[in-house]
Formats: sequence, structure tokens, C-alpha cells
Amino acid sequence: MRPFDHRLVMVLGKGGVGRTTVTAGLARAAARLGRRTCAADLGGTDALAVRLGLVGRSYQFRRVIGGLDVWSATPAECFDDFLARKIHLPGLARKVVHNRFVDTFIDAVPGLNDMMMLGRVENLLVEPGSDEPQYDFMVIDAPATGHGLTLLQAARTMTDMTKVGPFHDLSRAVDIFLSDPHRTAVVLVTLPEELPVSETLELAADLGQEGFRVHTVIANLVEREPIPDPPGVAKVSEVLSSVTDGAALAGLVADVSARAARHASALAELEGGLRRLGIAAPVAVGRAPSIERLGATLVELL
Amino acid sequence: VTRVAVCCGVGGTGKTTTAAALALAYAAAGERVVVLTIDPARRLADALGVGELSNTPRLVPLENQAGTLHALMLDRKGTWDEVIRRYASADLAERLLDNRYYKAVSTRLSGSHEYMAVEKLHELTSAGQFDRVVLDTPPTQHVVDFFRAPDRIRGILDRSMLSLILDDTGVRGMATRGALSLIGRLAGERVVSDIREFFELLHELSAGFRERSERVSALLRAPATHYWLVANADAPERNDLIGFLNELRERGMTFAGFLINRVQPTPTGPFPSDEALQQAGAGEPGWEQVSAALSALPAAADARARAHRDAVRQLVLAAGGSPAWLVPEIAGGVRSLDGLRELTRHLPPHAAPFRSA
Repeated sequence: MRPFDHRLVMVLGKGGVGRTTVTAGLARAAARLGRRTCAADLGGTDALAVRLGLVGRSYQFRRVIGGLDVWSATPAECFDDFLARKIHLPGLARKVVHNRFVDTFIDAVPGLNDMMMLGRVENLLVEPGSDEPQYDFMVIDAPATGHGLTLLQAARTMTDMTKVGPFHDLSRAVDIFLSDPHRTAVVLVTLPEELPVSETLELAADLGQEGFRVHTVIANLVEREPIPDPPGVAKVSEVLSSVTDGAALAGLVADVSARAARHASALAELEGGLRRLGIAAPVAVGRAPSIERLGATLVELL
Repeated sequence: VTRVAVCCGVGGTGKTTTAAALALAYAAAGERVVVLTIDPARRLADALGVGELSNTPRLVPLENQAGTLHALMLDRKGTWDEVIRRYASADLAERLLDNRYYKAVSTRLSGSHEYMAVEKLHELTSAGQFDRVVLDTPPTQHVVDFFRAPDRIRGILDRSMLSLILDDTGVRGMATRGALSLIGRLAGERVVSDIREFFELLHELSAGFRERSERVSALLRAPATHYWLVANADAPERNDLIGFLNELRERGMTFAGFLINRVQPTPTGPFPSDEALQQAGAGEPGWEQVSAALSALPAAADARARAHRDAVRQLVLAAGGSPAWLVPEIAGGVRSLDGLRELTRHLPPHAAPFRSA
């Protein structure tokens, strides 16, 4: 199965690795393959919408191109939705609920914020209301707070804490959906550098221990060796030493080659680590000139 | 007065390495410096001599330096338990550590890591042993999370908040009862009783905790505390950085500048002509392809250098002219103190900031 053949893809990765860009690329790729797609941001920011060419963030489902919407959610919006749809609490009562106490409570209960948003996503995919769009596929740019593992564990944390009640039912449904490898795929985004690679391997191992299989790892911004081998960098440097003004160019070759070599060794490290965890080799992508191109590349590679 | 340099930035930007290099730069300038690192990469930890987990500063052996450098690494594990034990009586601490809600909160509450870093910072500045403390901050998705963390922890410990939950009488009590009953309905009664017990226990220790957190908060706002923003030249998340800067300014805190890592130096030719390149290796198999790749290199490096500088220029402009320092990539990465020393040549107080004109 490709990531797009699932109902849901969770894209995890630390800040600065290009997680939002890859999420946008995956969304374009899925839409290209004819899946009715929603790119979802659970951090309450405009970053994903901006990558896809829109302005600002909105809890409304907004059309990007045919077959692709973008949506941004915050825990408060999803909680309000939950109270309205599942508890059938009227608008006035919901206002009362949103006092400082309840807001602080929601903020303080571990996993509740994340679970509210994932619950909304699960509902959209499994039993969309008559007033809601129907999607084949949702791809999620994981929220800003915390760690990918905490997000995926949120439902389980909530299931453990509450033994009965609507939260319990919702979190159980979310947990079942997220743990089902046929419906949910976890995609990790990383950079071809030492620290991000070791963090990614750690995360993949932790996820595995919690029963979440990593489907695909995408290494972003990978630079390739510019000089083919043969003749190879050493030979080229030797030739350049006999050329007028060749030294400055040899310096550039050394720079780019060093970076490419570092990327290659980080990728090898990543691949080896993933193999030990029983996860497929990482997919490497370079700097994409546009999200559309990235989408096309991802269709090819995945 | 111990001065404080807080290095903020998202993960993967080389923040820990930069914090260490900044500390070394100040030590080289004659100060007694301590750097508090968080999860340094193995080799950096080894280079600093904090390879083993240590919550106390260790002297980094430096040769021919005017000042001194100490380093320590924040112990993430059990940081909350440590604080609880410090402020609570033995009996209270046991009960709190046993509370189900506490267990969930202490292991998963985001922000506690940041809070603990600042707690440690407070300890280091109070000691009077150092001229400057350089703080590496925990990796967050967005840099602003660093500020929200202590506020969030304080919000939970807020006295009015606690009394709101514990006070069952009057109109306010009615609202609280209503809210608690809704939570009971949604999440189950057990959760409510766990939470009540948690807040009751917390109430007993909140005075000491609050006093401390206020002092920590004051330290973050002190004029001697300066903030640095570390970013990666390839992916400076401008909105995120400027958002952080705005919060910083709203709080009246001092911004010291941007430290931009992995900047491509502008290539300085002259470079050989295409013809010269083609001729140079004419005998080699596949040379045509090689010479084309070689011809393209200066322009590619120049484009990358321009892109990096444009991004920094836009950042500086959006920040209202705050200074930025450009730090090139160290070939092979920073593996030793020598590597760190190489970085310091591009950092304050030695190097001048980037002129965007």
C-alpha cells in the first residue's frame, strides 16, 4: 500500500525539517491520483494553507484546487464541535462551558487537546455529517505542541484515564482508527543530518513499541554528489589543480561534495536503523521548486 | 550580576552547538561562563566533557583562555518529581507522586521541560559563581512555545484557579459544580475525583512553588537576560521567528540578535572558463558530463549564497533592523572543541553582525 491508499496519513517531524511542505506535497500527490483529499493542520496556524497557496487559517474546509481542500483546527474549535454534535449541547450552554476553568482544565488534561482534534478527524472520515464534505483521504500536519508520539498516544492516554463516558468512547474509536495499519499510515519527515536522523530513529522505535508502524520515512532537502564517479572527486580535483583559476572551483567541489557525502552517510545511517526496525528504506527528496512539483515527485517515488 | 544568554529556536537548527560556541566565545573574551545544554549530540557532549548525564556544572578543559567554561546537561528524567520533593513534605510528596492525574500530567504535560530548564537557570544565576549563563532551550516545534511553557505551568498552579476548583460554595461554586459535573459526564467520575485530589494536594504546596515561579519569571524578564534566536539558513521560518520576537517585545524582554547557521559563503572567483574546463580533462572518460557539472557549480553556490542572504535580509527587515550573525557550515560538522572554536570566529563578541546594505 502506498501512503495515499490509506484513509489517513499522519505526518510527523520536528520543526525545520519541512514537515509542512511535505504534508502539502503529499496532499497534492493524493489529489493528483484522484483521491478526494483534505490537507489538515492541527496547529491552528496558516502555514499549511500558505504552502498550498491560500491566505490565513480557517476552520472552514477551503478549496485549493479540484479534489483538494485545506482545513485548520484548534482544540477549542474541535471541542465546541464535539459538544454540539455528540453531546447536543445548545450554543448558550457551550458558551458557559468555555469559561476559564474549563479552558484551563482542557489545557491541563494530558492528551485531551490532541484527542479532541483527532476525534474530529476520525468523525469526518468515518461518519461525516450531511453538512460536511466527504473525503477519501486526509493528510495531517501534526500540531505544534509536543512530540509525535504524544499525539498518537493521546487517544490511549484518554482511554486509560476515563473508563466510561463520551470521552472514553471517542478516544477508543480514535485509538482503533490510528492503530489500524490499513486505514492510518504514519509518515516521518527528517533531514539528512546526524541529529535529525538519530531523533527520527528514536521516534520510529518508540512508535513501534507503542504499536504504531511507521509506513514511510521521507528525507527532505537531500543534496546529491555533483561529480559522477568515475572520474570521482579526487581525480577532478587533480585535474583542476592544473587549470588556471582552478583552485577556487576545487574549493566549491570540496564544499558541495562534503555536504553530499554527509547527507549520504546520514541517509545510510537512517536506512540501516530503519532496517533494524523492519521499516522500508527512506525516500529522499531534494529541494522542490514548488509544491506541485513535490507532489509529482512523491507520486513517482512512493 | 550574572548575565544570561538564552538561545531559542526550533529543533534541528544547530541550537545546542551554537549555544556551546557562544559560551566558548564569551569564555575566550575573559568571562566565567557556564552553558546549560539540553540533549547535546554525542560528540558535542564528549567535546564539552558532559558525555555522562550531569546536573552539576563541570569545568571544560581549555588551553590559553582568559576565562573559564563550565558545562552541564539538563537531566530530563524525573525533573518534576525533583521539584515536588523539594517543595512538599515527605508525606504530601508521596501522595502527590502516587496520584493518577499527577502521573499523567508529569510525564506528558508539555512545557514542563522548559519550566525545568528555567528553574535550573535560576539556580545557576543565584550561585554568583559565573559572569554569564548560556541557556540552550528544549527543542520545540515553534520557538514561542518556550515562553508559553512557564506561563502554562503557572496557570495550572494559579491560586485563584485552585480556589475556584476547591471552593464549592456560592455562585462561583455553582458554576464550578456545573463544570465538574459536565466533565464527570464526559470523562467519568473517577477522573474528576483524581483531579480534585491532585489540586487539593497542589494547593498545599502552591505557596512555595508560586514564589519560586515568580522569581523564575522575573529572571526571564530581567534586563541582564538577553535572547538569541538560532535559525537554519536553508529554512528560516520567518513567521515563527517574528512571532517569537513580537512576544519577546510585548513582554519587555531584550532581543540580542539572530544567529544564522549553515550559511553558504559567497563564492569568490575567478573561476576557469567553460572551454578551459572542457580541455583540462579531455582525455578522461565521461569528462563532458563532469565539465558541465563543474561549470554549473559557481552559479549554484552563488544562488544558494544569495538565497541565504536574501532570507536573512528579509528577516532583519521584518525584525525592524535587529542584528544577525552569519555562521558558515563547519566542514565535517562540529566534533571537537577546535570545531567549536572555529564557529566562535563568526559569533559575537568577536565578529561583527551582517550588514544587509
